[in-house]
Amino acid sequence: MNRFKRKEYDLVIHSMPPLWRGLIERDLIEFSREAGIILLIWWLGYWLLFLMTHPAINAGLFSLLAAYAGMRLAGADVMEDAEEFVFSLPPTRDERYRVRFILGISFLMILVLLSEVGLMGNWPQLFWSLFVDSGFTQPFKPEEHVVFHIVALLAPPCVFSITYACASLSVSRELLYKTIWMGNAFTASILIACIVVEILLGRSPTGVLFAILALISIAASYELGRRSFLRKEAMDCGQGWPVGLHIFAFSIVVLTPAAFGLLFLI
Amino acid sequence: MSESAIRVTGVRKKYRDGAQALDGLNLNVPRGVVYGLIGRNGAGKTTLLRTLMGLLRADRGEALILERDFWTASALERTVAAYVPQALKIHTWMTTGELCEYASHFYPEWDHRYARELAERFETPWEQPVASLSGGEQRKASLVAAFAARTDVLLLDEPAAGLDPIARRRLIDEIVEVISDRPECTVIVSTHIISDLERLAEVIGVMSDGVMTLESRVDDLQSSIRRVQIIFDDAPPPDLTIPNAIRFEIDGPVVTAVVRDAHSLLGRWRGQDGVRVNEFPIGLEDAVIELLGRKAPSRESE
Repeated sequence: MNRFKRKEYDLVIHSMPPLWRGLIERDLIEFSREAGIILLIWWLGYWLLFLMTHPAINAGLFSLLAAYAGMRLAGADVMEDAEEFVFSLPPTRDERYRVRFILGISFLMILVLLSEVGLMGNWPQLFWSLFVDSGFTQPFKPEEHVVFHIVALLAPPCVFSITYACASLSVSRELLYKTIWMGNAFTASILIACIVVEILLGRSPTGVLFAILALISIAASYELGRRSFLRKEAMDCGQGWPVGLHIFAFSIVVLTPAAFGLLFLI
Repeated sequence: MSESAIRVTGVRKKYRDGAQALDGLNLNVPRGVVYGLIGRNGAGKTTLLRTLMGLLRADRGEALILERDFWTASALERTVAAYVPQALKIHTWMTTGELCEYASHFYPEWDHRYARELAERFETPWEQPVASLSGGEQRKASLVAAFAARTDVLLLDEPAAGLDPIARRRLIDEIVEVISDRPECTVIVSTHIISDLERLAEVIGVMSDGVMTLESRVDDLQSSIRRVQIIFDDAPPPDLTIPNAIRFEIDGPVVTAVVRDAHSLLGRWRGQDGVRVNEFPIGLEDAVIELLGRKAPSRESE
């Protein structure tokens, strides 16, 4: 069965230009299993096990997912050693970069938004109250957690965008895997810096500064990554951005206090 | 519009490790020609093809396919050429059929029927994942995708590498047939296996250290290079000169030379007293090896 001829893909993308259709179909086929597993875990964790009962948990879990998705999507061809073949096909680097970015961030944001909106509306509890009256968890009060909601909504796309940009520029699998830390490290350092600044200014954290910086980081990393990717030579035969061990070490150094800071805040 | 399918002008490419892969290379391939690229390892053949396809960016100069620079060309402009890389790393989770379906989205002239027909002709499994195919079958799957794109230009980097001699011969025969079906298609084939080129190419270019050292029609090269043996009754004259010599050696009274255009040498010595001259044709492989392995002859003249 030729998976490119499946009708369900046609339903979604039949109106697109053939070039986009080819790129999207390929990614849908390659990543459908992983996306399915992620959806299953999300469904189990969110709807059945009530694991995501706080936006900080959402922020943490979806940031991890964003890092994985950014690395996996941007580095798919490097992982397969197929960059030379892929770059020799007609789609330009620009088109490849944009299509995968849109696919990845769309998937991520659908999950983030569903989780956040569901959390504010206590959807899992409402769902289960149809069957049982258990009182597993306390009803969630969204107005008490505005900062965390901002972080939960903006940290994952920020992590994704930065990781995606870095991963797309790596020229070997070894370097690619190291980029998985970069988005989280950078986002966490922005978050901590914003909180520290707001505390130093003598007010409790509002998340507004983080929101502004996160949006700037998303846009900047997307555009810088895209421009650098346009100049990337195919793996194995050329040069890319040297994402080296020093950056990996830097990420660890930044990430560790960031994680402690986040735990402290929770 | 220019009649060149491939035009390379003064292209230089240096890798990060300092290796100068292309050093001011010039190349002009007219439309409809099958051009064989020969050279030793590291001569720059693969770098040239990668630069043409926009996988690498030239440090200097221009590398154009049908007047388009693939490094900056749009997706539509890039549909005029297809490439089969040397290190065959395609999406191994796809079947051959899926690989073709995937590639078909990008080429406006894609021919599904032809792809299927080629896969049958090449005996390439259509429904099996590429990962489960042998190296030769994977290469054939890649060739099927390249040929079915019906592009004006095809770049094949070592298309028969890694195959056993029988499989290689069969594949080359198939490629010859496919190419002869499309006389308007320009093909560049890079290979180490000169006997393959003998059957495939009309023109060959010999590369060495990032430059083109020789370019010739295959027929001309085969007919112009000769091994000549001159046997003197006494010792050869001390001022002996060998015109157009690629290589020569003197062993007592016997002078053996590989020369391009032997006429003047033969004319000089044939019929002279005390001198016997023998002329032997040499094959393309020997001719190219002589050209690639030559060192500046110390007594070469003209």
